[in-house]
Amino acid sequence: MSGTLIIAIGNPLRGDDGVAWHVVDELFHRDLPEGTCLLTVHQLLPELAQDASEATRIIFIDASMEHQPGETAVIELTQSPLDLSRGTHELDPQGLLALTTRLFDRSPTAYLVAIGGKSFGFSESLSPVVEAAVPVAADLVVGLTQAIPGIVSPTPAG
Amino acid sequence: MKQTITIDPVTRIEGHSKITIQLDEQGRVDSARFHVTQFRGFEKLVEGRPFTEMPSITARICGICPVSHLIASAKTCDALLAVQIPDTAVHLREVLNLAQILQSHALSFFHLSSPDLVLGMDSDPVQRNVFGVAQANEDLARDGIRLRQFGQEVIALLAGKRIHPAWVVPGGVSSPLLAENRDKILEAIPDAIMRIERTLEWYKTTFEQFEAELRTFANFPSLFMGLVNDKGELEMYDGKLRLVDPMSRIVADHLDPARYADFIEEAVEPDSYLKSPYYKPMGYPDGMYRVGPLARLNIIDRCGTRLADQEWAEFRMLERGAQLSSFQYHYARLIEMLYCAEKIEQLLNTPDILSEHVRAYAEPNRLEGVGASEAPRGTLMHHYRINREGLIQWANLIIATGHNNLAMNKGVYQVARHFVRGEKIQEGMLNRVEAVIRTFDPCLSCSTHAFGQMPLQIQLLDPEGQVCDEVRRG
Repeated sequence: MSGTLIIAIGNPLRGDDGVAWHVVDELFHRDLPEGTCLLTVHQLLPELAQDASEATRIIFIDASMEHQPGETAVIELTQSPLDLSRGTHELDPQGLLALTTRLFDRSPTAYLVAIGGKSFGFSESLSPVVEAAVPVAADLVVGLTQAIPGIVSPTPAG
Repeated sequence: MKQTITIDPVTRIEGHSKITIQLDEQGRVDSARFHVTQFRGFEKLVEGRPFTEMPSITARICGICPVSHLIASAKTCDALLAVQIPDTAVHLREVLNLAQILQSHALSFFHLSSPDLVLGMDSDPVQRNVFGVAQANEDLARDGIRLRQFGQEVIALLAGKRIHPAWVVPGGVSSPLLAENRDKILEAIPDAIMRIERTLEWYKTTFEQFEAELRTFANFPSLFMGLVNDKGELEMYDGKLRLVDPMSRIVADHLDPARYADFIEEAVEPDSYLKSPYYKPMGYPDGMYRVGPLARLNIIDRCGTRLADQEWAEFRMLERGAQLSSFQYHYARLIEMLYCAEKIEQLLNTPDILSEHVRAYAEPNRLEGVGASEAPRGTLMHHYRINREGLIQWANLIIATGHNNLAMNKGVYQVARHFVRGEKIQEGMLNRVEAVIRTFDPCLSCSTHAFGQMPLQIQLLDPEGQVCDEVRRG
């Protein structure tokens, strides 16, 4: 793999937590550059470091509790040192990037597309306000796949 | 004053449990118990469901070893259909099972246990995890990641996805193997073998460092049980059961897993949701036996693949009889990973592996069936009874971790007696008590079925978290 790796994180049985999986469904109807790889996962795991090391750009998509329901944001992820206190069930995008750098000496450009969630209870459907954000988030992802690293304008978190 | 130490939860294992250690008035360990505190109840949940749904339902028992349940369940359904499935389907199921065992062993060894082995039992618990391993031994961490990914890729290339694939069905598998996918797997095997061999060489250098653990980690006489093929070789998919004693002498051989109830009884303890099976002719608890990698390597005459046989010969040279120390589950796990990679290669090179004839069709011809296979942690058995409409009337699942329950408890007691001193308790002592459990690599999500015995508390909460109703039993 030498293109963009898109990793959608969440649990589609927990309402808005699974919004990233819905964005991936939407992306199947969009034009993505050749070599783009889409992955849906419930959580990040150490073995994804191998996939991450083979990509030039990684776009994580995840529900957020730090944004207003339905709000979308692009956050450019920066390198951070490997946090040794984390367990394997607590791996976040920065942790995966740090592990990738440590083990494979690779530091792909990485972004997080965050989507504010509202309801995280047992449900296979999204809140209406979050559902409306799905095409918006998909547009952001498509834009990132075409962006040249360094000139994208991420929106600040929070 | 008497004192109780509770380790809750036990970490770096699959599922929820706790350990209690009772100290006497002199601060010495009086007793130690391993309690499994989660309950699943799949055997009741499946009653009334069509038997054809069983592979998919029971695979949901576990996210680590869904393939094991898929295969044992499909074999049980084959028995209900009374069909002989096509040879190619057998080979493809075998490859899937081997890939599952390889990736699960990689998870156990590299992600869960290597922090103890690389950083030491007494190291800072905050850093004693896979990220600490990445910091201390990059090659090992990389090999772990690559091997786990290899196993998962094989599963995905065969069955469509890494977790909870639905490809294994009653009568065979749902689709044939594509040539391009076979070639991708074959291409990746040399790299996997190189990484396993490198890890084996490293592991063998640690024996001196863990001399005390080798001597005390569930190191006691017991029976060992597992499946072997008709040549006495390692067998993960089919075969007959063999039991050996601590000197590796055969106690029972050619046992038909379908008749397990003739020789296995399941005891129930009041403080755990995990049952305690034992070998019936020797009674309870003397009929304690161990299953899984250590047991499998203790019962066989040879592995049946070239590189694994070389390693197995070295493994067996360490003791005159069976390897009794459960610490060597780690060693056995690595040898089995080597076997799995070699065996996958053998199977993928069989002439009929791309055949499109991969499923037999039939209506149910029997009302009762048993299926058994080797899961990563040991022998897995499913047993179903159906009515004439094909609906499940009764189900019993005997899970590898359950087989090991008596030995795990004895091991916890042995380690606690050796390492825990009441007057000055240190984290490293308690970590060793957890680590002996990790050697068995228990999968508690899979194995908790003793409904009806352990005290139970059920609370019904409203959306605000307030208790609406509560039931207590026991």
